[in-house]
Formats: sequence, C-alpha cells, structure tokens
Amino acid sequence: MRSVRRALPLGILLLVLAVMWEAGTSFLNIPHYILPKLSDVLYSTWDNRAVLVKHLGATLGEALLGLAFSVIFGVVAAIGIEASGLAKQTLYPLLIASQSVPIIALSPIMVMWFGYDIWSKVAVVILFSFFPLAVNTADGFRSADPGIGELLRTMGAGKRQLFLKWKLPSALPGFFTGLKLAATFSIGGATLGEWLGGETGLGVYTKRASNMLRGEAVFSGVLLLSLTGVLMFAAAGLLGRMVLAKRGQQR
Amino acid sequence: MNHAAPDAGQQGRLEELCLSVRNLNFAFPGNKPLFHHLSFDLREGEFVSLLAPSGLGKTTLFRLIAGLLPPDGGEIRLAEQREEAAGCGGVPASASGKKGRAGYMPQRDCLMPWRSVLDNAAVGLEIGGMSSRDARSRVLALLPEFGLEGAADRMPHELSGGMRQRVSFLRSMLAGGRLLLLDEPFSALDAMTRIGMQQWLLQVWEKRRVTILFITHDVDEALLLSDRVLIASEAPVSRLAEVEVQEPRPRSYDRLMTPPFIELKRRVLGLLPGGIGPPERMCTVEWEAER
Repeated sequence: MRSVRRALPLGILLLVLAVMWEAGTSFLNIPHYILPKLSDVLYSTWDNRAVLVKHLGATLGEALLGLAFSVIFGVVAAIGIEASGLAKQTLYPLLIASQSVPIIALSPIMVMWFGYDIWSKVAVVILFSFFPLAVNTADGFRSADPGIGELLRTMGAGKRQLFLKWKLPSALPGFFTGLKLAATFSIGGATLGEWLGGETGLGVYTKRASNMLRGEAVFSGVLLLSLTGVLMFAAAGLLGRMVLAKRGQQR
Repeated sequence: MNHAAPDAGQQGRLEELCLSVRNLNFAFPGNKPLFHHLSFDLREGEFVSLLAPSGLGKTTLFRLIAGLLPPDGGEIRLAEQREEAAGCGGVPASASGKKGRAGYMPQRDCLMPWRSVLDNAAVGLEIGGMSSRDARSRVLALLPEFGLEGAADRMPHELSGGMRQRVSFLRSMLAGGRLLLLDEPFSALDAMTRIGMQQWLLQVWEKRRVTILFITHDVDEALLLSDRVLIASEAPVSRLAEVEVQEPRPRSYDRLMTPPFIELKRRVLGLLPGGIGPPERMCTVEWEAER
C-alpha cells in the first residue's frame, strides 16, 4: 500500500507527459518523422509485437551475457586491486582515469576484433559495464571498516579469513551499486554494438526504421529499450536490497 | 626481575602473572617515544584500570599487547592459554592453541553489520578453528548471562548502544580467553546507560574473574571497577603510579558516594597532571573500606 502511494506522483507525471505528447503532436501538426503521436507509437509497437519481441530478446541476451562477463571480470579486477599493494597503486588510478575514455570511440575496435556476430556486442557491453563494477567493488573493499579488520587480527585471523569474513562482506554494498549502473549501461552497450553492424536486436530495428523515416517504429524501439534499461536497474536494485536487507540502513 | 617496576610489579610470582610487560620501548617512526622502559604486571584474575590523559598512548599500549604492533624493545608476555583456564571462570580458552592471546575490545564496538548478535559473538571462535555450529551453540548458552537473552538473531542496527557493547564484550571474551583489554568501552554511551553498563560489567566480572586491563578517562569508573588503578602522567611513559582499591566485592554504584571513595578519588586526581590536590608523584594508597 505504501509503495503504491509513493509511486502515485510519478504515475501522474507520466500520465501528464503522455497526454502532453499526444495533444502536442496533434495540435501542432508535427510531422511523424520528427515526433510521431504517442498513440501511433503504441499502435506500431502492438502491430509489430512479434518482430519486436524477437529483437528485444536478442538485445537482452547480449546485455545479460555481457553483464555476466563484466561481473566476473569486474570482481576479479577489484579483488586483484585489493590483494596487491602494487595493483592498488597502479591499476586503480588507471581504472579511474579510463572512465573518462569515450567508450563509444573504442566500440568499433570490438567489431574489428570480434566480427559482426553476438561476441562483438557482448564485448561492447563489457566495455560499458566492466568499469562501474570494478571501481565500485574496489571502493567497497576500500571502505571496509579497519576497526573490524584489526579486531579479527587480534583474534589471529589470517589473510584468507580476513578476506572472507571482513573484506568480502564489506564490499557487497559497493558491488551492488556497481551492478545497478552496469545493468543500465549494458542495454546501451548492446544497442551501440548492434548499430555498428548486426542482423538482430532493437538497435538494428531502430536504425533501420530511422533510415526509412518511420518515426513511430523508431520511437517504439526507443521506448522498449528505455523500459528494459529501467527494469534492469530495478532488478539489480531489488537483488541488492534482498541480499543486504538484514544489515538495515547502511551508514 | 622486578627491578624496573618498583611500584607496579611486586605482587606475584611469575606463574600467577597473566600479563608481564618488561622494559617496553615504543615510538612511532619520526615521533617522540611513547613508552620508555615501561614495566608492569597483571596478576591472574585482576581488574586493573589504566588512567591517563589523552595523547599518552593508551590505545597504542593496547595495540602492542594485542600484538597489532611490534614493540621497539622490551618484552610483553602473556600467560599461555590453557584449555581449562582456572582464572577464566570456566570459559575455556579459544581453540586457537597455545599462544597467549589477549581479547581486545575496541572503543567503537566494531560489530559486523552483516552478522547477527550470535554470529558476531561467535566470530572469534570461528577464527580459532571451531566449527560454526559449535561456536553458535557455545555463544547461545552464554547469552542470558550477558544480558542478551532472546537477542541471538537480532542484527547490530537493531540494538541499543549498551546492547552493542555487551555483544562486543562477549565476542572479545570468547576470543581472548585469559586477558581482556577494554579500551574505553563505555565512553560513547550516555550517562545513564553508562552507569548501567558499569554495574553489568561488575556483575559479569565478579562471576567470571577474567583478567581485565581497562582503559578509561573516568576516575569514578576506574575506582568502581578496579582492584588497582594505574596512572600514567608524563610522556614518554616510563613508570605508572598505582592506587590500590581494597573495597570488598560485590561492589555497587552507591559506594562511589562514600567519603573513603571520595578521598581515594582526590588522591587519584592528584596523581594526574593538572589534577587537583597535592602533587604526590608516586604513592600507593591502601585503604580498608568501612564496614
């Protein structure tokens, strides 16, 4: 009940925006290839549902596969940075700096390396999703309360026990922060990978529709992609809240 | 062997000592020394408070005793752990083996927010090699005595400050065995909770008789709880003045309001730098309580 009441203002805002979209495009006579009517977009979505579901499945598959690899690589990188003082001094600043590299500019390289099948898209997703996961997990390790570590050391804890009983649980909130970002980015990464060349996916769909000036089809693809991104974010957030629920409010 | 500690080390034969510090030297690199040829002893089953102004290195001393820092010179000896340590009131030493180890209770409770009360208290036993099931059942049996009955499955964020300190105390006791180092454990609590916790600690300790070295800023607290109060007044610390509190146990908080206790407090304050009363540098006050 409370969550319904909290979501109510947002629902009203969305409704108002939808009405403004529909009314604005009708009254101002905006051409459909600039901004199609919302009703046309929804109609087009319904009309092409079979094709859209196929493309959505492809995009989602690339995104999830890339995200899975990003989780593995990101966590391994974070552990490496945490475990080695040298890596902390060298890799970590590099990782931070690399976040300002325009990833879009690197994406064509992935196509060169991995070709036009699914793996180039997965690689682009990893480009987008790896950094937030690695950096936030590494930050999670760094934020571990030194008092707890010291206490466990007085109890005779070795490196392995310190890692398992102190560092790892401490890093979980950071990991889930990274996962939320990475989940959202993964959809964008998959779409970009598809633009660069591919046969299926919502990126391909919107690009083709755009070439044909079919505004309502472009927008239905964009709407679906946005919705998927939001759902990925929400799912990652929910997973994090479930895992961390027992800890209460994080300080 | 006690030549370096004429004031603080003549009370017992070696086998009765729980902690023996000899000629301890320590300085953080690039800083003035904190301890210079410092020696003192703790007997088995004693409650000793260490009273000192801020900045004299009390917490550093604990970190040295707990083995977190290596001393620059001198020796810190802890009694070896015995499986059925008589001085520990029936709480067997942790399963970590022979090496003497102090249970360290830090100033902040440092409870792990991802572990329940039960699992927080059991962590030392787990590290000592006990299976988590055995550790849990050991802790579970002790909870009522420590005022934590029914709190086994609660998470740290659901606990009051006093409860958190109880869990922290139990955790340190289970991990340490014979010697407990308590670093201003009640300093962050409000005055009422603090009095409650002092009385709680008195009860627990009078039953268990573990050896405790207790850091505090609070003279009342030191006198209420301790058998002896050690006072450091100058840097680097090379000797500790000592005041013996021969008040019978069990003690209670009202004893603090009696004239002999107030007299004792005046003497302790006089030993602290900038304290009130006559500047008696080193003295041993022996005082029999009125009955």
